[in-house]
Amino acid sequence: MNTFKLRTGQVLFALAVLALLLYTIFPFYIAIATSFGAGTGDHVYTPAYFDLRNYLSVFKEQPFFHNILNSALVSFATVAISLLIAVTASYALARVHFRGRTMLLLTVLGVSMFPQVAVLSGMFELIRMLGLYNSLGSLILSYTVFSLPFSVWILTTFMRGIPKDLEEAAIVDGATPWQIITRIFMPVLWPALVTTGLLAFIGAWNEFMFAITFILSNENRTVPVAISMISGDSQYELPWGPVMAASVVVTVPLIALVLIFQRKIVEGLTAGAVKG
Amino acid sequence: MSSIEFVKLDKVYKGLNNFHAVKGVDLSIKDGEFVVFVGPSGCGKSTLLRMIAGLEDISGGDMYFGSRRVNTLAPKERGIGMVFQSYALYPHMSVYDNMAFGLSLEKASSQNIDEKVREVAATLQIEHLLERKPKELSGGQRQRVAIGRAIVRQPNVFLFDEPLSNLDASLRVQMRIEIIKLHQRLKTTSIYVTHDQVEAMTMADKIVVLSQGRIMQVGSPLDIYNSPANTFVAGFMGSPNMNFIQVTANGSQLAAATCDVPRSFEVPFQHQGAATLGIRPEHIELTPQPGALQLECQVSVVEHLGNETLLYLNTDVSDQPLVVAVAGEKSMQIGEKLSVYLPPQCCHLFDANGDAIARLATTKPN
Repeated sequence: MNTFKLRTGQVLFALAVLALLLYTIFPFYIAIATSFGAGTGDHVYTPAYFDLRNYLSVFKEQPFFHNILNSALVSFATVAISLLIAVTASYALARVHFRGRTMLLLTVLGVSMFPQVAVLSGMFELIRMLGLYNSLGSLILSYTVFSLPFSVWILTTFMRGIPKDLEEAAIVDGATPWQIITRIFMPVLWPALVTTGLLAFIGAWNEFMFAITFILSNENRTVPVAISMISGDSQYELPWGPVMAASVVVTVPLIALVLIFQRKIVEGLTAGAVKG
Repeated sequence: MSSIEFVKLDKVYKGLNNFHAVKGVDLSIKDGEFVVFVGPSGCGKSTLLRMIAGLEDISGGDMYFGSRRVNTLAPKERGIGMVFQSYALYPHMSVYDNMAFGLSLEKASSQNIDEKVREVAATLQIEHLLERKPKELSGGQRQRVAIGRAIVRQPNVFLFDEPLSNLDASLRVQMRIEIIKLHQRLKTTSIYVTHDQVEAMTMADKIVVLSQGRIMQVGSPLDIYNSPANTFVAGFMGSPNMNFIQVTANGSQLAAATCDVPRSFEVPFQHQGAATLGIRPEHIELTPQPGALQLECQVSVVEHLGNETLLYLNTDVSDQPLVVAVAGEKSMQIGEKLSVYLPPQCCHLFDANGDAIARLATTKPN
């Protein structure tokens, strides 16, 4: 009786795990299968044949390598700029007492709640005014604007968790605020920095709406827009094969990044939960 | 090395209710002295220490290190070393880097840094720990590293903010002795904040008792114990606490205030009106003494501490039980009646404001 109960429990658990795996992995499986398989719209669950034609065509028929470089440049610049600003801003918000601090923090949070569409036209005017239209600078600027509130908010929370004594010990040791940030806080906050940096990177890497609005020429496009522009032989054909091949190519760097920093991300997301 | 002088030092925390943490403190600390600030939580002792460190702004008054006014100087310009209650070691640095951090900010040569760090590590017997991270150290070891970090820059003044309160009792005693030895060797002016009166009594050249932002008394440990300046100091220092009995004084005659039966008692003080008689538990005798006040009591609680026995006695002279400390073991039954004797030369008298009244006779308490 008991062993029967145990058996059923194990079977049900295995089924649940299987269902979850199917549910999460299936879309990726289809993407990869399609990228190696036929280039037509009929989805096959197993590729009929296996070749790299789709991959080659992606790089041949458009400046896709250039697009990847653009995306990388924009994403890394966004991460670097927003981390620099977020670290210094959160130091002020977490450590320096000034009037209206809470108000400012709430405003930062409020700003991050606007949908992208709401600021699109305003942002477009701003980009035009700054002469950044159709350049990567426009994307770096707008992505930084959107990743900052989130980064500031997270880093402020982490920064508050650093004992005040630690900062005061550094002050007594003769450190300037900049030295405190770079030599004490940043090493201590390293997991949090990796986490926020990675999230900002993914956001910038995958962003579509600003990228399609602010960039005009094919050479300056970032990856998501470039993928959407891949066209078939006729206007009625959706070239699933090359689209999927392109998607797989641009997902690989993200997966690599996440795997490299995986341990740090988990540390960052759970740090401070338990006193270490 | 430096002497320190406070002149009417004030600290007000600006805010809704402008909390006045330090109120007009005057104090002078001699070069090389080991001074302990002691008082209950919230008395301003830590604030005062942080003002010396430069971590808190000074709202009013002046502070001098030697002849140099330091009010507006940054902590590093004051030449201080500080040990924090939480140790505050940099978690991502090795012990060596923790101690070298201050020196490296001063752009000392790496050879110079190495020499100093190793010398201090040898003094504190932490050489074998130099490559470890703080999380791999025990509480006592972390405390040593924190002290080492403070010493290594050879500051003019050492500041200790309740450094031993996170350690267990036996380690606390051991570290206490080591800090005293260290001070005897380095002879650096040291200021030590604690709420533990045993630390205050054992370590200090000079104790500063604080309450509610004011200095209650400054003196050597034995001064504070033998002639407390007021009822606060008398009650705060000494364990168990001093017994207080409300009395009415008429010249050198005292009568218990709460007692139905007036009982007079000759003491070496001169005062008129309401007063408080204070006597320490260890000065009350169970055997008759010449000239001592005899009180009839009933035992309510007995505490056996091994080396001494504490008796809590109900009397008719006070609502509070009278505490008597008797050396050694003493078997007593609850409810047992006995007489105790208060030797007049051990009594303290405080006026209605709580300030001590000067003793007339030349006899000193023993």
